Amino acid sequence: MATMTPSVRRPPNRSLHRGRFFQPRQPAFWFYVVLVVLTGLVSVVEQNIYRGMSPGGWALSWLLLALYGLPVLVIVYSLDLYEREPISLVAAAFIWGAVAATTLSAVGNGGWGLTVARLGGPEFAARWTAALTAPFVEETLKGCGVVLIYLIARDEIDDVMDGFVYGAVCGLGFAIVEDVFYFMSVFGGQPAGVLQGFFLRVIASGLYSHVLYTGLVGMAVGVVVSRRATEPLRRRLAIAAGLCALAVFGHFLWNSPLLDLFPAEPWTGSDWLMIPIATAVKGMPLLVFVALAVFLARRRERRWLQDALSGEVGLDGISAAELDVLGSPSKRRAARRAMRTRAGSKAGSLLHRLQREQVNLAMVASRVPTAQDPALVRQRAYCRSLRDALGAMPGAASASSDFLERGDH
Amino acid sequence: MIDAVPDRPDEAAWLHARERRWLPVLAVFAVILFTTVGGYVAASLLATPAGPPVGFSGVVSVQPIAGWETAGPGTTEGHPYISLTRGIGTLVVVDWGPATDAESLSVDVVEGVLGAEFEQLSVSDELDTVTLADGTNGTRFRFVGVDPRSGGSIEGEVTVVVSPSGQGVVFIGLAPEGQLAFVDGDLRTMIDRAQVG
Repeated sequence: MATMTPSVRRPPNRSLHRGRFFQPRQPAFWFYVVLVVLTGLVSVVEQNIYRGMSPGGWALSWLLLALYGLPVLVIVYSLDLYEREPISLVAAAFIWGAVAATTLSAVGNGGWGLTVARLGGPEFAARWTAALTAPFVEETLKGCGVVLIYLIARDEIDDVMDGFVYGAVCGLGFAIVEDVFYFMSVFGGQPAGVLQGFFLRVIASGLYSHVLYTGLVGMAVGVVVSRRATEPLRRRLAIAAGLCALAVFGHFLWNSPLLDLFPAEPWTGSDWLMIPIATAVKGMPLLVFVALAVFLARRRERRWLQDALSGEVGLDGISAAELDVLGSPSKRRAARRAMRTRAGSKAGSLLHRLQREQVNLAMVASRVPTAQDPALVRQRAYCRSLRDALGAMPGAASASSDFLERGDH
Repeated sequence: MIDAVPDRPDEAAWLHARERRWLPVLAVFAVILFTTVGGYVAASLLATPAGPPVGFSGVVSVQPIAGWETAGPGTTEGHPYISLTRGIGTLVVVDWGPATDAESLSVDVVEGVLGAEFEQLSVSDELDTVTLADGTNGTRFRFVGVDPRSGGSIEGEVTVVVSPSGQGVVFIGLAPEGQLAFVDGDLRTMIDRAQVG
């Protein structure tokens, strides 16, 4: 059967994407590595102290935060409809947030907190330091991580959604390590305190935290670096400044004594119900805004895909029916499911590969100057070879045609 | 991919702009540096002297920084003191008299002063070593207790030094529990700059 399968050879498209974190020719890579290693030493010492304080509480903290962090990571990663970001770069964004940004923020918050106390006095500082320091210090340092990811692999942030993914993942890393700090230092570190902290900081507040703020900062980076061809610099900077200001304001409001509906301690009975309401009052507006921004960014991505491939329909790379399926993530998944059911998992994987390469076809088509560009011709041929290989698999051709013809999916 | 594409006169200039690799990294470094250490620089610039130094002649001299005021002298357990305040924060400087070393003086302070002034006293397990700007060595520890007069919970940090001539000096920084963090920067600045002996 293998001899019946047409040969499939990936075209040389390395120049299209750097697509990986390991970039020893980039100064940004080495800058990132040095900072993460140095701050990582501090983080290891810190985590050892927590572990020594209460091994059970420390392990429980990480277990609970893994239960929260993993689904959030998967959801954020999956938000990018067409071009999933390279795992190594996503991991680098997470590590920056978890290690470098947390450690550097502790230093920065201390210094700027001292400044607030000197300027406003201790009573003012007690009420306002968290609001006046952390939003600026932490968003700046997390944002620097997204900028470094861009400088390491410039072609990877080619849309606002890409910036959101890297920013949100960076914010998630930050939130997890910060939560461990709070569970161990502020909530006492014993399992009962850790559970209380988990309720307060994750169950009641987890939707509104650093993932949103840094997601917005990442979008700002995405706007500046990915819309050079369509927006003048001044407009891009204005949009980015607005997104960053909103992130900082959301963080400021969260940390400030404004709109503080938290019940007074010790909490009993209905107080525990009041806590999620209190956090929602502060965090829900920003969550709604970010959800709307992500929705618009995804719609923009969908439009981009349709525009980029409209000239390719009917050529070797993609058919009209395939484009219809490609434009909808749910239809893509359904097509793969149908293919797996009718022709086996290998056929499902091959269809997945074809869909991915058709998205790459859109990227090539949007970047090359002419429809006869050799890179575009190669990518079309590659898609066609994948389709031919798929068609040669028993049951795949009928599964594909049935699915595409059915139309409503 | 851009390098592989032939130049076209109608192409956007940014497509063929030479990629700057060092400049953006230096800019990121500058932003990180400003964000992390800028606050300390700004705070040190704001720690300007305010009013004349206070203390005990020949024993200790403390320079109040901006925002801090002298709250007057007094005695505690027979030892004269002078205090400085700023809002919720207080610095008490005690002229202890003859003392042998900072460690044993720390024990005397806990038993003789803190134990008499506060109820439900809880003292940190560790005794940190400190060196003031004038080179005097000493010890530092923290405590939490309840002020029996107000009933409020108080958090404090005690710095104990012994001058070369054998005079003990005790610096007690105080604030309501949970709020010492918002004054300890000022307290440490004034203590670290104190002239002992």
